[in-house]
Amino acid sequence: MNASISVLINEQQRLERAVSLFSQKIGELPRGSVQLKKRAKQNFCYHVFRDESRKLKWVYLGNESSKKAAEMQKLIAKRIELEEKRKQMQRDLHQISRMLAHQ
Amino acid sequence: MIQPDNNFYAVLKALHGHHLTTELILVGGWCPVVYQHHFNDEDFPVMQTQDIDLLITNPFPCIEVDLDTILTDLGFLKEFSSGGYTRYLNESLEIEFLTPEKGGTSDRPIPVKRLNVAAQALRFMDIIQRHTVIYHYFDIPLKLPHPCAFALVKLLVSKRRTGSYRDKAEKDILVATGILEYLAEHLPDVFNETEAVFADLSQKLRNEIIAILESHNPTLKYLLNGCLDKSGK
Repeated sequence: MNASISVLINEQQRLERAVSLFSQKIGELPRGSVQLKKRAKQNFCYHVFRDESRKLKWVYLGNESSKKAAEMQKLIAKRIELEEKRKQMQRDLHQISRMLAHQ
Repeated sequence: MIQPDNNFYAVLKALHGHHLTTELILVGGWCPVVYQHHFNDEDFPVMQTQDIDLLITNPFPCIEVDLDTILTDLGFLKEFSSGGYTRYLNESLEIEFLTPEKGGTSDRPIPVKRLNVAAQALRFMDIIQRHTVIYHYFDIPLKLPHPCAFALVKLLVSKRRTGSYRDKAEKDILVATGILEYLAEHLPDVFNETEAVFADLSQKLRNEIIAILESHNPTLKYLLNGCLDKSGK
Protein backbone atom coordinates (compact mmCIF):
# COMPACT_ATOMS: atom_id res chain seq x y z
CA MET A 1 0.00 0.00 0.00
CA ASN A 2 1.15 3.50 -0.82
CA ALA A 3 2.59 5.19 2.31
CA SER A 4 0.52 8.35 1.83
CA ILE A 5 -2.68 6.27 1.72
CA SER A 6 -1.56 4.55 4.89
CA VAL A 7 -1.20 8.01 6.54
CA LEU A 8 -4.70 8.95 5.39
CA ILE A 9 -6.20 5.69 6.67
CA ASN A 10 -4.41 6.20 9.96
CA GLU A 11 -5.87 9.68 10.29
CA GLN A 12 -9.32 8.42 9.28
CA GLN A 13 -9.20 5.81 12.05
CA ARG A 14 -7.99 8.39 14.59
CA LEU A 15 -10.79 10.78 13.65
CA GLU A 16 -13.41 8.03 13.85
CA ARG A 17 -12.22 7.15 17.35
CA ALA A 18 -12.14 10.81 18.36
CA VAL A 19 -15.65 11.52 17.01
CA SER A 20 -16.98 8.52 18.90
CA LEU A 21 -15.23 9.60 22.14
CA PHE A 22 -16.44 13.19 21.74
CA SER A 23 -20.01 11.98 21.11
CA GLN A 24 -19.87 9.89 24.26
CA LYS A 25 -18.66 12.88 26.34
CA ILE A 26 -21.23 15.19 24.74
CA GLY A 27 -23.96 12.71 25.72
CA GLU A 28 -22.85 12.98 29.35
CA LEU A 29 -23.21 16.79 29.37
CA PRO A 30 -26.51 18.69 29.76
CA ARG A 31 -28.33 19.96 26.67
CA GLY A 32 -30.12 23.29 26.32
CA SER A 33 -29.18 26.59 27.92
CA VAL A 34 -29.38 28.62 31.11
CA GLN A 35 -32.09 31.28 30.92
CA LEU A 36 -32.94 34.13 33.24
CA LYS A 37 -36.44 35.01 34.40
CA LYS A 38 -37.16 38.28 36.13
CA ARG A 39 -39.51 37.99 39.10
CA ALA A 40 -40.07 40.78 41.64
CA LYS A 41 -36.98 42.72 40.45
CA GLN A 42 -34.81 39.63 40.86
CA ASN A 43 -33.28 37.35 38.23
CA PHE A 44 -33.73 33.62 38.59
CA CYS A 45 -31.90 30.99 36.58
CA TYR A 46 -33.49 28.06 34.81
CA HIS A 47 -32.05 25.19 32.85
CA VAL A 48 -34.10 25.10 29.66
CA PHE A 49 -33.96 22.05 27.44
CA ARG A 50 -36.11 19.72 25.38
CA ASP A 51 -36.77 16.29 26.87
CA GLU A 52 -37.00 13.01 24.92
CA SER A 53 -40.52 13.84 23.78
CA ARG A 54 -39.22 17.22 22.46
CA LYS A 55 -41.20 19.04 25.17
CA LEU A 56 -39.61 22.22 26.52
CA LYS A 57 -38.61 21.89 30.18
CA TRP A 58 -37.70 24.65 32.63
CA VAL A 59 -35.78 23.44 35.67
CA TYR A 60 -35.17 25.96 38.43
CA LEU A 61 -31.48 26.40 39.37
CA GLY A 62 -31.53 29.28 41.84
CA ASN A 63 -30.86 32.98 41.73
CA GLU A 64 -28.34 34.65 39.44
CA SER A 65 -25.39 34.11 41.75
CA SER A 66 -26.18 30.52 42.65
CA LYS A 67 -23.41 27.93 42.40
CA LYS A 68 -25.76 25.50 40.67
CA ALA A 69 -26.47 27.98 37.86
CA ALA A 70 -22.77 28.72 37.36
CA GLU A 71 -21.96 25.03 37.26
CA MET A 72 -24.74 24.35 34.75
CA GLN A 73 -23.53 27.24 32.58
CA LYS A 74 -20.02 25.76 32.61
CA LEU A 75 -21.23 22.29 31.63
CA ILE A 76 -23.38 23.64 28.80
CA ALA A 77 -20.46 25.75 27.51
CA LYS A 78 -18.30 22.61 27.57
CA ARG A 79 -20.93 20.73 25.58
CA ILE A 80 -21.11 23.50 22.97
CA GLU A 81 -17.30 23.55 22.69
CA LEU A 82 -17.16 19.77 22.20
CA GLU A 83 -19.99 19.89 19.65
CA GLU A 84 -18.08 22.51 17.63
CA LYS A 85 -14.94 20.41 17.68
CA ARG A 86 -16.87 17.29 16.71
CA LYS A 87 -18.40 19.15 13.78
CA GLN A 88 -14.92 20.11 12.55
CA MET A 89 -13.70 16.52 12.92
CA GLN A 90 -16.72 15.21 11.02
CA ARG A 91 -15.91 17.64 8.20
CA ASP A 92 -12.28 16.43 8.16
CA LEU A 93 -13.43 12.84 8.23
CA HIS A 94 -15.75 13.43 5.30
CA GLN A 95 -12.90 15.02 3.32
CA ILE A 96 -10.53 12.14 4.05
CA SER A 97 -13.16 9.56 3.14
CA ARG A 98 -13.68 11.33 -0.20
CA MET A 99 -9.94 11.44 -0.84
CA LEU A 100 -9.65 7.73 -0.11
CA ALA A 101 -12.65 6.92 -2.28
CA HIS A 102 -10.96 8.61 -5.23
CA GLN A 103 -7.77 6.56 -4.87
CA MET B 1 11.17 29.25 7.73
CA ILE B 2 9.78 26.31 9.68
CA GLN B 3 6.74 27.31 11.75
CA PRO B 4 5.71 25.50 14.94
CA ASP B 5 2.64 23.32 14.91
CA ASN B 6 0.40 25.15 17.40
CA ASN B 7 -1.37 22.13 18.87
CA PHE B 8 1.83 20.13 19.28
CA TYR B 9 3.61 23.16 20.72
CA ALA B 10 0.81 23.73 23.27
CA VAL B 11 1.18 20.16 24.54
CA LEU B 12 4.96 20.51 24.82
CA LYS B 13 4.62 23.86 26.59
CA ALA B 14 2.30 22.32 29.19
CA LEU B 15 4.65 19.35 29.71
CA HIS B 16 7.70 21.61 29.85
CA GLY B 17 6.00 23.56 32.65
CA HIS B 18 6.46 20.41 34.75
CA HIS B 19 9.94 19.55 33.39
CA LEU B 20 8.47 16.56 31.60
CA THR B 21 9.88 17.22 28.13
CA THR B 22 13.30 16.07 29.29
CA GLU B 23 12.01 13.39 31.68
CA LEU B 24 9.86 11.63 29.10
CA ILE B 25 11.14 10.73 25.63
CA LEU B 26 9.24 11.80 22.56
CA VAL B 27 9.06 8.81 20.23
CA GLY B 28 7.00 8.12 17.11
CA GLY B 29 5.94 10.27 14.22
CA TRP B 30 6.64 13.69 15.73
CA CYS B 31 10.37 13.01 16.07
CA PRO B 32 11.13 13.78 12.38
CA VAL B 33 9.31 17.11 12.81
CA VAL B 34 11.65 17.99 15.69
CA TYR B 35 14.71 16.73 13.75
CA GLN B 36 13.65 18.88 10.81
CA HIS B 37 13.47 21.90 13.07
CA HIS B 38 16.75 21.06 14.80
CA PHE B 39 18.67 20.62 11.54
CA ASN B 40 16.85 23.66 10.18
CA ASP B 41 16.23 22.06 6.81
CA GLU B 42 12.82 21.72 5.21
CA ASP B 43 14.23 18.89 3.09
CA PHE B 44 14.52 16.66 6.15
CA PRO B 45 12.01 13.87 5.41
CA VAL B 46 8.87 14.15 7.49
CA MET B 47 5.74 12.06 7.24
CA GLN B 48 3.20 13.91 9.30
CA THR B 49 1.24 12.12 11.98
CA GLN B 50 -1.20 13.22 14.65
CA ASP B 51 -0.11 10.67 17.27
CA ILE B 52 2.19 11.90 20.02
CA ASP B 53 3.90 8.93 21.63
CA LEU B 54 5.70 9.59 24.90
CA LEU B 55 8.07 7.02 26.32
CA ILE B 56 8.20 6.65 30.08
CA THR B 57 11.66 5.36 30.89
CA ASN B 58 12.12 2.26 32.99
CA PRO B 59 12.95 2.73 35.89
CA PHE B 60 10.20 5.32 35.93
CA PRO B 61 11.20 8.99 36.35
CA CYS B 62 11.33 10.21 39.96
CA ILE B 63 9.16 13.18 39.12
CA GLU B 64 5.59 13.16 40.45
CA VAL B 65 3.14 14.91 38.14
CA ASP B 66 -0.53 14.35 37.41
CA LEU B 67 -0.39 13.99 33.62
CA ASP B 68 -4.08 13.17 33.48
CA THR B 69 -5.00 16.58 34.91
CA ILE B 70 -2.48 18.43 32.71
CA LEU B 71 -3.89 16.89 29.55
CA THR B 72 -7.57 17.14 30.44
CA ASP B 73 -7.01 20.80 31.37
CA LEU B 74 -5.62 21.24 27.86
CA GLY B 75 -8.92 19.98 26.46
CA PHE B 76 -7.96 16.36 25.81
CA LEU B 77 -10.49 13.63 26.47
CA LYS B 78 -9.31 10.48 28.16
CA GLU B 79 -9.99 7.11 26.63
CA PHE B 80 -9.04 3.60 27.61
CA SER B 81 -7.82 1.53 24.70
CA SER B 82 -9.00 -2.06 24.27
CA GLY B 83 -5.72 -3.07 25.96
CA GLY B 84 -6.55 -0.93 29.00
CA TYR B 85 -3.85 1.72 28.66
CA THR B 86 -4.73 5.42 28.65
CA ARG B 87 -4.99 7.49 25.52
CA TYR B 88 -5.82 11.18 25.23
CA LEU B 89 -7.56 12.65 22.22
CA ASN B 90 -8.52 16.10 21.10
CA GLU B 91 -9.75 17.31 17.73
CA SER B 92 -6.30 17.10 16.13
CA LEU B 93 -3.96 15.02 18.29
CA GLU B 94 -3.75 11.72 20.09
CA ILE B 95 -1.34 11.11 22.98
CA GLU B 96 -0.22 7.69 24.12
CA PHE B 97 2.29 6.55 26.71
CA LEU B 98 4.77 3.78 26.10
CA THR B 99 7.35 2.08 28.26
CA PRO B 100 10.08 -0.48 27.47
CA GLU B 101 8.87 -4.05 27.59
CA LYS B 102 10.53 -6.04 30.35
CA GLY B 103 10.49 -9.81 30.72
CA GLY B 104 8.62 -11.02 27.68
CA THR B 105 5.56 -9.98 25.76
CA SER B 106 2.52 -8.79 27.68
CA ASP B 107 -0.57 -6.93 26.51
CA ARG B 108 -1.33 -5.70 30.00
CA PRO B 109 -1.11 -1.95 30.62
CA ILE B 110 1.66 -0.76 32.93
CA PRO B 111 0.30 1.66 35.53
CA VAL B 112 2.62 4.56 36.29
CA LYS B 113 1.10 5.90 39.49
CA ARG B 114 3.55 8.79 39.84
CA LEU B 115 2.35 10.18 36.51
CA ASN B 116 -1.25 8.96 36.84
CA VAL B 117 -1.32 7.18 33.47
CA ALA B 118 -1.23 3.60 32.20
CA ALA B 119 1.44 2.93 29.57
CA GLN B 120 1.75 0.32 26.86
CA ALA B 121 4.86 -1.87 27.04
CA LEU B 122 6.65 -2.14 23.70
CA ARG B 123 9.70 -3.95 22.40
CA PHE B 124 12.84 -2.04 21.38
CA MET B 125 11.98 0.98 23.51
CA ASP B 126 14.99 0.08 25.66
CA ILE B 127 17.21 0.77 22.62
CA ILE B 128 15.66 4.20 22.29
CA GLN B 129 16.01 4.80 26.01
CA ARG B 130 19.77 4.17 25.76
CA HIS B 131 20.35 6.44 22.74
CA THR B 132 18.74 9.80 23.31
CA VAL B 133 19.55 13.38 22.43
CA ILE B 134 18.16 16.67 23.65
CA TYR B 135 17.10 18.94 20.79
CA HIS B 136 15.03 22.10 20.98
CA TYR B 137 11.68 22.51 19.34
CA PHE B 138 11.66 26.31 19.20
CA ASP B 139 12.21 27.30 22.85
CA ILE B 140 11.39 23.91 24.37
CA PRO B 141 14.11 21.35 25.15
CA LEU B 142 12.99 17.86 24.22
CA LYS B 143 14.46 14.46 24.89
CA LEU B 144 14.08 12.20 21.87
CA PRO B 145 15.86 9.25 20.26
CA HIS B 146 19.06 9.86 18.36
CA PRO B 147 17.94 10.02 14.69
CA CYS B 148 19.92 6.85 13.86
CA ALA B 149 18.35 4.96 16.79
CA PHE B 150 14.94 6.20 15.69
CA ALA B 151 15.49 4.94 12.13
CA LEU B 152 16.97 1.57 13.12
CA VAL B 153 14.16 0.87 15.60
CA LYS B 154 11.61 1.79 12.91
CA LEU B 155 13.19 -0.85 10.66
CA LEU B 156 13.03 -3.45 13.42
CA VAL B 157 9.41 -2.58 14.24
CA SER B 158 8.40 -2.76 10.56
CA LYS B 159 9.21 -6.47 10.49
CA ARG B 160 6.93 -7.13 13.43
CA ARG B 161 3.82 -5.39 12.18
CA THR B 162 1.06 -7.95 11.94
CA GLY B 163 -2.66 -7.99 11.19
CA SER B 164 -4.18 -4.55 10.68
CA TYR B 165 -0.82 -2.92 11.46
CA ARG B 166 0.87 -4.62 8.49
CA ASP B 167 0.09 -1.61 6.26
CA LYS B 168 2.21 0.58 8.51
CA ALA B 169 5.33 -1.48 7.80
CA GLU B 170 5.92 0.17 4.43
CA LYS B 171 5.55 3.60 6.00
CA ASP B 172 8.03 2.63 8.75
CA ILE B 173 10.61 1.57 6.18
CA LEU B 174 10.05 4.68 4.09
CA VAL B 175 10.50 6.97 7.10
CA ALA B 176 13.57 5.09 8.38
CA THR B 177 15.38 4.88 5.05
CA GLY B 178 14.47 8.51 4.30
CA ILE B 179 16.12 9.65 7.54
CA LEU B 180 19.22 7.48 7.07
CA GLU B 181 19.64 8.64 3.46
CA TYR B 182 19.30 12.26 4.52
CA LEU B 183 21.85 11.86 7.31
CA ALA B 184 24.32 9.99 5.06
CA GLU B 185 24.10 12.73 2.45
CA HIS B 186 23.88 15.89 4.55
CA LEU B 187 25.15 15.03 8.02
CA PRO B 188 27.75 12.24 7.76
CA ASP B 189 28.96 12.82 11.32
CA VAL B 190 25.48 12.14 12.67
CA PHE B 191 25.10 9.19 10.29
CA ASN B 192 28.35 7.67 11.56
CA GLU B 193 26.83 7.53 15.03
CA THR B 194 24.74 4.63 13.69
CA GLU B 195 27.76 2.57 14.62
CA ALA B 196 27.17 3.16 18.35
CA VAL B 197 23.52 2.11 18.07
CA PHE B 198 24.47 -0.92 15.98
CA ALA B 199 27.07 -1.98 18.52
CA ASP B 200 24.29 -2.03 21.11
CA LEU B 201 22.19 -4.53 19.13
CA SER B 202 22.38 -8.30 19.14
CA GLN B 203 23.78 -9.98 16.02
CA LYS B 204 20.27 -11.22 15.21
CA LEU B 205 18.84 -7.70 15.18
CA ARG B 206 21.79 -6.38 13.14
CA ASN B 207 21.18 -9.10 10.56
CA GLU B 208 17.50 -8.20 10.44
CA ILE B 209 18.30 -4.58 9.69
CA ILE B 210 20.83 -5.52 7.02
CA ALA B 211 18.28 -7.88 5.41
CA ILE B 212 15.57 -5.19 5.34
CA LEU B 213 17.95 -2.68 3.79
CA GLU B 214 19.18 -5.24 1.29
CA SER B 215 15.68 -5.73 -0.04
CA HIS B 216 14.50 -2.10 0.18
CA ASN B 217 17.54 0.10 -0.21
CA PRO B 218 20.83 -1.64 -1.16
CA THR B 219 22.67 1.70 -1.43
CA LEU B 220 21.89 2.43 2.18
CA LYS B 221 23.00 -1.04 3.19
CA TYR B 222 26.30 -0.39 1.41
CA LEU B 223 26.69 2.99 3.19
CA LEU B 224 25.82 1.44 6.54
CA ASN B 225 28.34 -1.36 5.99
CA GLY B 226 30.95 1.27 5.15
CA CYS B 227 30.20 3.10 8.39
CA LEU B 228 30.53 -0.12 10.37
CA ASP B 229 33.68 -1.25 8.54
CA LYS B 230 35.40 2.03 9.40
CA SER B 231 34.99 1.17 13.05
CA GLY B 232 36.26 -2.36 12.41
CA LYS B 233 32.93 -4.02 13.37
